[in-house]
Amino acid sequence: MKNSNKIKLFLVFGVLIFSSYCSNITGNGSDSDDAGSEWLIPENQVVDGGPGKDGIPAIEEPEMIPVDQVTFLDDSDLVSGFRIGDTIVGYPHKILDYHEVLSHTIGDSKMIFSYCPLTGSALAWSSDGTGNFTFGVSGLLYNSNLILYDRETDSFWSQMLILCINGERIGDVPEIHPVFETTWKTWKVINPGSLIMSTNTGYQRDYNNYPYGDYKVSDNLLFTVNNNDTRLHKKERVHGISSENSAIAYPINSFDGEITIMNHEINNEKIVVAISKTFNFAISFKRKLDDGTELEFTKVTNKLPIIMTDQFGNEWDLFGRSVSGPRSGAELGKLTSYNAYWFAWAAFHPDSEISSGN
Amino acid sequence: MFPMIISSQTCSCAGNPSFDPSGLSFDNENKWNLELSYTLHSINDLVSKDQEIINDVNRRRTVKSFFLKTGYSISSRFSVSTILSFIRQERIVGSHNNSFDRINGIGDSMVAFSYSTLKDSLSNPVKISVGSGIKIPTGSSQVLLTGLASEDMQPGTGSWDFIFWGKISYRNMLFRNSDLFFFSSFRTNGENSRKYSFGEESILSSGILLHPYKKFSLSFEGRYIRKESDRRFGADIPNTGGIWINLIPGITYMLTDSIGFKTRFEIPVYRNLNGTEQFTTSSLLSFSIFRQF
Repeated sequence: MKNSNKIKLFLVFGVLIFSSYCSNITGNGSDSDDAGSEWLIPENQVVDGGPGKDGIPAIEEPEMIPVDQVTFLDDSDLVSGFRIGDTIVGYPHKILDYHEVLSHTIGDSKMIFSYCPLTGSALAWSSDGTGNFTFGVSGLLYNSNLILYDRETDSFWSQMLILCINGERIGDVPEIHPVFETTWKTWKVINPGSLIMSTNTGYQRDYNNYPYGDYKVSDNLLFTVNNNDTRLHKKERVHGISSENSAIAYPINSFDGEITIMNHEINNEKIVVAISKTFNFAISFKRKLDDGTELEFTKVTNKLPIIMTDQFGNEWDLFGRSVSGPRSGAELGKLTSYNAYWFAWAAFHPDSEISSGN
Repeated sequence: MFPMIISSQTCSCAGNPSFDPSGLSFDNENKWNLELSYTLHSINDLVSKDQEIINDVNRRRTVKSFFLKTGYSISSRFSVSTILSFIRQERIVGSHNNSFDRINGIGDSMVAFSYSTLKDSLSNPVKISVGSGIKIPTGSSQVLLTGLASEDMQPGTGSWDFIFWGKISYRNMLFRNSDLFFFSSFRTNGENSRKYSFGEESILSSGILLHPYKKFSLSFEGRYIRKESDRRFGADIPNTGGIWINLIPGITYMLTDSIGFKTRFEIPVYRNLNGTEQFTTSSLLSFSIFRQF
């Protein structure tokens, strides 16, 4: 081949492959199977966290083991869980850090449990309000917080907004279930008959190694959030309660003593908040019963999981259930409440009050 | 003398191409050097420290890049080069609902300067060159997928970066018709509008270029890469950065005295990465066609 022909070949080759490639230039292209174009949050504040959809693998039907078989937890490790009927289940954060979303059938109840390591928020949803679907990790974040997706319709659900924000199910609100969160040291004492998620998840992960460095205690964030509220340290764990446009945050470590019981009100809703720095938990319920009875609670000490008694002599446990007294077996109403890092609570509730207990 | 064009681009760990300057110095006075290259960077290995984890999330992550390099040797010692890039980021992930994300776009560009401090000759087999480059953020770093795409899926970094390098080569030191070379570079990266900066990168490499025939050459390179953690808001981002040792065999074939074709295959042989786990390079394949005139 003559040199001139080779030069032409070179040029033709270059132009052809470059032009064929550049024909697709969009600078804004996506072949993602988007669920829908309407968002209930500003779309430009939804960010891709990096791993992609299902890049963090969710767990379906986790293997559960009795408390006395758990050897992988240290006393200081946090565990979050809930009660369904007489079954209490706990999910260690050190496993949740790597999976974030669980679909778990307990008896006749199908539950969606999610934990966002970046915002420190753990929520349990009954699947009744979500279409009885299974959920995965979308890889997207809003205010640094987990966005789940349901595998049936590919709709996106904001964890801390407790709301479907995009897709076929847009606007749907899942029914939340009170989550109890504490250290393993406390959990195993007060819930000895509970079931704990095992490390046998089917995935090869080093669950003893926290994947986010010093994130839990540092003043740094990994993603931008809307409202940089400096009233508390960013990673201060708070128990937040919201009702319509009102929100209150209770910094867990601000409540010294064994147990603090507060009969409070938010947005004309009578509530009771139980917090213990010593035992590292915070939980809240409605204190007005369906029959209109308004309860006033006082603390009970040294009887965990019983934490409070009312003016009628009923004793109530951490899960909001009366365990003795004339209303034995009754349950307190659920609130929209959960624990989270302060920065995240403030990002979602920019006008939130901070309660010091008064 | 056989054209010593080792490479124009490579990547170490993340999805944004590193502008590898190891092939940017040439010293034929008043000559143009044109190179078009295509790289296929697969980022599918899930690694914890120095152990590969079974990839259990069915992930396929690739960066397909075109680079157009134009260089001109102003004198026998001084040359100027520019690199333009076009990037296609692709990601398929999913244990259940596979999602396919793709971003196309003009990538970042670089202007580089190279100076030969010691030129080889018939009596001197040693050649030393140094250089520096400015990486210009011509690529977008704000592309939307579903939401704002992550930094490593963007066509550009959005930052101004600086690269410095030095290179020594010895002609016929080990064998006849060979060049033994040592290369070192350091890249410092600026912060983009999202307050994100990619980690600083240091490279040490050594290799040999064998050219027993006029038209054909083989190269073998070992490359040590150390990358610091990426940062956002001034703080390290967990699970970014680490150490890689890669092997890079390559073949070059000269179609004429001035036009050639080369291919390289970069594979990791050792990794020790920061944090608990990272997706990282499984291979990088490149093809280039070049011409000097």
